[in-house]
Amino acid sequence: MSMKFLRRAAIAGVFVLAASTWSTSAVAGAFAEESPAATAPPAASDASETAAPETEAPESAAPETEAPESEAPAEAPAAESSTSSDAAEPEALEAAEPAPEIVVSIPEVDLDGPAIAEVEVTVSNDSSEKMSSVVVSFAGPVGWQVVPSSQKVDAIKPGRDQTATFQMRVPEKRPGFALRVFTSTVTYKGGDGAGSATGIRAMPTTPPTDSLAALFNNVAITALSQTTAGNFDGEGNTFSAEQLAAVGAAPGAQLEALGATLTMPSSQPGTADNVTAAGQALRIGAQGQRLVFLGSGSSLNATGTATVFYTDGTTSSGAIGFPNWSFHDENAHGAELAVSTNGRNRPNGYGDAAYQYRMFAHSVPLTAGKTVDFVVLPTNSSMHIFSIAVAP
Amino acid sequence: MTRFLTVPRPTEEPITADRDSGAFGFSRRNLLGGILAGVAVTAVVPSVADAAIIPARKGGATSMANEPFEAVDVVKIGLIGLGNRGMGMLNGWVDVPGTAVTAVCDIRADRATRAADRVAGKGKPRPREYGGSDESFQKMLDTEELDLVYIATPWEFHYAQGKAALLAGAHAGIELPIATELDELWDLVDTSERTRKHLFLAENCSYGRNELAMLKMAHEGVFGDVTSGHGGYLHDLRSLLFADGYYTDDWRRLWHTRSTASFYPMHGLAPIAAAMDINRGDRLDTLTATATAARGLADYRERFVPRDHRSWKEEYINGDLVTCMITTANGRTIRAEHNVSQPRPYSRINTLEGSRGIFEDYVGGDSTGARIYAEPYHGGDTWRGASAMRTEFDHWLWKDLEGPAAGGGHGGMDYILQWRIVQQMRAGLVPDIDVYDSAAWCAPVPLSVKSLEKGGKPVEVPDFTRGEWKKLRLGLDSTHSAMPAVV
Repeated sequence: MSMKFLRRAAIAGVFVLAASTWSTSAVAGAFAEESPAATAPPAASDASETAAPETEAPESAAPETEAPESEAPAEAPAAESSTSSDAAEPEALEAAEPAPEIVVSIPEVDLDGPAIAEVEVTVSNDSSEKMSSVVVSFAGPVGWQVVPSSQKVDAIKPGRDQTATFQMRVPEKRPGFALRVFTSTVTYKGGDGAGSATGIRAMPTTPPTDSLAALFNNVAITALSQTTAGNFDGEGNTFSAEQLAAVGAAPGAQLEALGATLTMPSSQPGTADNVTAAGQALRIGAQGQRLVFLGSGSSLNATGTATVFYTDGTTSSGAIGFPNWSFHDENAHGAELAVSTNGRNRPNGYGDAAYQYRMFAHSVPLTAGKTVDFVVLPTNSSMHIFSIAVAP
Repeated sequence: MTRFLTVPRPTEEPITADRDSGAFGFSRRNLLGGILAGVAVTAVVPSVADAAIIPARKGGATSMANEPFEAVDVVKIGLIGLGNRGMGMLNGWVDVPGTAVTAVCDIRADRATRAADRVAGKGKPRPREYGGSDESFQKMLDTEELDLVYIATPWEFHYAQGKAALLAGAHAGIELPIATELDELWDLVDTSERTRKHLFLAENCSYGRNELAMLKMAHEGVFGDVTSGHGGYLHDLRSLLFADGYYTDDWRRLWHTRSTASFYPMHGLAPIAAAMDINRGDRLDTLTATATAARGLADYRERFVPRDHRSWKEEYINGDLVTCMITTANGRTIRAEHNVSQPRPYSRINTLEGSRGIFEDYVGGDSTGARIYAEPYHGGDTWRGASAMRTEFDHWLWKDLEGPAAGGGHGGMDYILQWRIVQQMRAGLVPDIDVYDSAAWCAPVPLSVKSLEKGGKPVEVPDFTRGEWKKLRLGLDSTHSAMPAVV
């Protein structure tokens, strides 16, 4: 085990990215899209987190066409994800790809606000050249105040560290799942010659939820006897329970889509039956080819990125999207039609019978051989999700 | 019903500004020299002509930022000014646990007696009374050992009385504004630092339920990176301004004869400043003022005030709507408005906007009066009433004190303010609002005058913190803590 690996492994809970290997902006973008409930493994999986973003970066660049990791070209960056910091495979990690030479590490942050946190970022120079003109920036979740946003630090000799301390305003801890993502980027001359490197730490505020039904926060299906009980589209309109039953989509019914068996919500009409995506985390605990979502859009842009966290601490992600429940191409956003009914319930009763109101299936690929720990839903309130299942 | 006295004023000349005497056109020193004759008030520091100039600290004084109160078991309170506002706050000062109103003062002695009667009537020891002259407040300060002096007199007395309270060894809570001139604001900052006593604006609206929830949403990041805010004081005061006896000696109406200024924008500005962490990571940088013509008061008088009323000797020169555009060091903008002279429903505006959402108050969104739209919580370009998110982001003060505050003045804000001040003093906490916040929030009063004098050009807002604004500090978004038990 080399010194480089030892230094890297010592940064528990920190995603380490070397700009010489990965695009800093690509990685930052993958996290920013999901903030505050963004994409990263929980701190509890510290030992294996270092490999996670390397897996995620290329996928975020082409989420809809990405292949499962096992199908990626051997030279693709995704190989990095197979070299998680599992203690049994450290040499394999080095064999697959050299450890980064410039390491940016962020310590664990106390999320119990309101408070002013002092965050000491460490920049480690494992290269053979001195780093000069070193500027360290730090940012928390959007809206979290940090001062200074960047600062210059002294030159760093090979094998030495330098620290930069930032103040950050931590808000009151809130109930529910949120992923707090902290990013630090260092720019420099010399060192490994890459010019910049980024470290990311992601910390969940609570464990994922075990049941999708527990996340239901919207009523999308009503019975003819009480059409005012729901509001799928913001205007009081809903799916008709009777029409859904007529096409085999009654409460608790099972549907086959994209290789998965999806179960219609068992909720009674007029009660919460779907979750509007807001970065919630759902425990999965299964392996398979893909994770399939049954949903529908209440706008034309019901899209977002779902991020899968595996029990080994690695992640993958993919874009999902649902067409608008009506008046939208049924394959928009890459979705597949799953349920189609005639008409809908309006506040004043059943109507619009000449039009179809639909649910769709979409999926994200899973990494072969890995067990899904949990999935973090996209953050888009027009994305309504009724069911999630693993396609074996 | 509004009544009008017909006693003529002793002058036959229109009451207008003396433009050679300070930002407000009347001689502060003449005014105070006349009214406060014989009162030992330290002369103010030399005028700060250029707001960008930061006067050096003297005598080894240090910052009061993050300085906790020295804890006291019982907060001994003296009240100066027992008019509408002072008497309105009296019950709260008596009722909050761990207080003793030990002295009450008003230039009109009968008011002090009435206040003392009320305190005694609530079963508390009768406070000593001070009144009858313009020196009465100084006598009270010289005689009493007070922990807190609460000042609710006309604006023109706030500075001198606040400073005197500090020099007497008490902390000072002052109604809006703490002072009306830049050199006065600096002097209060310096006096607070020198005496190690806190002086703060008793800004009840900083403790409004909507305002505090908006603040906590901002800190959570609900609005993304906050880029702009809009606050103000839009309150049709015309009938009150002309109501005999409501504002003693017509003091508030007379301000409208002296200068064109944003007299009182703090109720709306302070919550926006808090949500932007002004003096806690950002600071007010420049101010540009505009003013409309002064039409409202004269129009009202024309229609509703008898011709023999003394107000007909007055010429109103303050613009009906005075707007301050403020930039911050971090590139945000704040619009602060003041309008008390035209017919309109009440509003403090309370609008905050950022890269991911917006909050707007006083728009009838739902029972809160506010509406909100923020990604990813909402979609479809449709406003949502603020109730759900206000509940989610409700400040601990409101969760704890909703019951006791119910029925209190201004929807409970007054009681929350008073409870929190007392709690901070009894528990030895850092005040939510300090002299730097107070000075910054009140600076638009004189700075609007300066900007308008320059044809609306921007003027610099002084950094009253002398650089401390670059450090993050907690403020109104405070950690939960209990009121110490009363022994």
